[in-house]
Amino acid sequence: MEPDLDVLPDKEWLADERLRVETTFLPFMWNCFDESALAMALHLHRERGDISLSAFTIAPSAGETAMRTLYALGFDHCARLDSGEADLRFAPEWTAELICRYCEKTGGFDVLLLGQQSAEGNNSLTPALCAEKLRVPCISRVTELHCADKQRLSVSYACNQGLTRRQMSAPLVLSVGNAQISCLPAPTLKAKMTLGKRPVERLTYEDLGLSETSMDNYAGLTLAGLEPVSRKRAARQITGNTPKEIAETLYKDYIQKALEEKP
Amino acid sequence: MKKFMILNGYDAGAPSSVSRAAAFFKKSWPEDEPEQCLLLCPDEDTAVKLAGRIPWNRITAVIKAIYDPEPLLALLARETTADRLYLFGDDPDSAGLAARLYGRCGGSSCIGVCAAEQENEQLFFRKRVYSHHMEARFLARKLPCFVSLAKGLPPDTETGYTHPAPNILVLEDENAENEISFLENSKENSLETAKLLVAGGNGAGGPEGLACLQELAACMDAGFGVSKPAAMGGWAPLSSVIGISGISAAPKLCIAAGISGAAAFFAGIEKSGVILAVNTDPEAPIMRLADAVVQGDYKEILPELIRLIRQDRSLS
Repeated sequence: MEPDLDVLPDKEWLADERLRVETTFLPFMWNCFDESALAMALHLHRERGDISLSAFTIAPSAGETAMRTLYALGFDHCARLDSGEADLRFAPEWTAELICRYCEKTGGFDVLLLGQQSAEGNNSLTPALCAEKLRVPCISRVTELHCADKQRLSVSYACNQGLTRRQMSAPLVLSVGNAQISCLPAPTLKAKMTLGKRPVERLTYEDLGLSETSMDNYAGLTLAGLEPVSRKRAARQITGNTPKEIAETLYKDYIQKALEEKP
Repeated sequence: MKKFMILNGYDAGAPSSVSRAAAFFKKSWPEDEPEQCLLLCPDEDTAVKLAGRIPWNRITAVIKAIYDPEPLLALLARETTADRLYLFGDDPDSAGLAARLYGRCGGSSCIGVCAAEQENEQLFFRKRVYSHHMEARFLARKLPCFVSLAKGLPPDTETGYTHPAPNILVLEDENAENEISFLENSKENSLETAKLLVAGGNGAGGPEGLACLQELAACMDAGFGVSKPAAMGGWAPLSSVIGISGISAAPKLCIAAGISGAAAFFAGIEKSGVILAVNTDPEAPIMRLADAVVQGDYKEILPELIRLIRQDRSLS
């Protein structure tokens, strides 16, 4: 889960003395890749009913409502580790350690699905680090997931050689990218009122055998600066009395020249 | 500090990617050259062609017909030493290799780097964060350091370097390829190199709403791309997604219609020479980020534009 960065006004994109941007007041939402991963897990569950689904998030308490929605959608177990004051933006190593410890605590997994990157940190490291810590194969940029047979999964993913499908056995780490199934469905009111009332397990660092003070030992990079990116352009207003007039201005002032220059 | 380049030749766009990586190295370390350039390629012909994009002589090509990261990782991990910087290209598979190698060998890693600075023996990297709203500067705390490049960096202005034939190392294809089927072979995505680009988004309301934009693209001989939400809705193929998780384009002219201009999308068109935006919402971010903006319904304006272009082209 992450803040909706698109609603932060331009003038608010400033780093404070701790190199943080104030985003705590922004709406909290699913990361788009995480949402695809969750939707993919539900789809797999529909294909094969005997799959047990667990969801784990590292988030403040605001994330708990969304986790209850996952119960209503069919997840069997949801857990939230309260990140407290810890700065997880650029801490993929620590995040991967927490995820792996959670996997161990719950007795392992067959498939670990993760979103490929967060909007804030844009680290693109956590799934790969999880796979290496857990010593299981990792497929990146997963677009589709199906049951191939009782033992194997059919994983579609994008790679440099093209869109690819591969049949693989568990355990697996899958990093979900631009997936075909990208949105979680809305739960029924009945499911919300029954399944959605189940408590979300609350975890602390200590529950996973860690202490927040050890976080820094995992870091590979130190954030040394954070500056806003200026992207503004002239934004000349093109107006006219009719669509035809507007089109003529666009054509005459910009498009005609570009078409002439195109080889 | 010694530097090692690892470049991926499996992508149809590999020649451009290799050229961008060479330009990045030359800009970052103008007095230096990599200790070794490793080209990961499906065949020797590809390796020889790509070597012509590399300014330095010490090139080894690792040949494996089908891309499979596991044996490549095993090879790279064996060769990794603790005092080096490992620089990967800007394609997603290279980013994946850099990340996995970091997980396997330790040290530090930065994915999607747009600039590198070396101050004495300290390495700093710049990259976009916060959906490209901010640029962060990071200090690499440990070596080895595994870095992959950001998409859309400028290419090397020189090409056609001549070298002795690269050293060749052939990795046998094992069992993996029996399980792998290619659903759609890679071809160089024309959006990355398009001189003109038309882009649509959620404002289209559905695939029928994109038809007018596709028609405009066709009559301009322009590339056509969409924002991620439009592709997720099934209105256009995933290969046409522009933005952080898709294509980074740098056309001379980009027409963005029915697109709010969310940062995740804008990152894919920000290198455009001129951006024209048409949107009904005057508060949409794209209305501040474009060179010229029209507040209105593109479905009324673009048909007039198509008519003008066709009229002009029929006269010329």
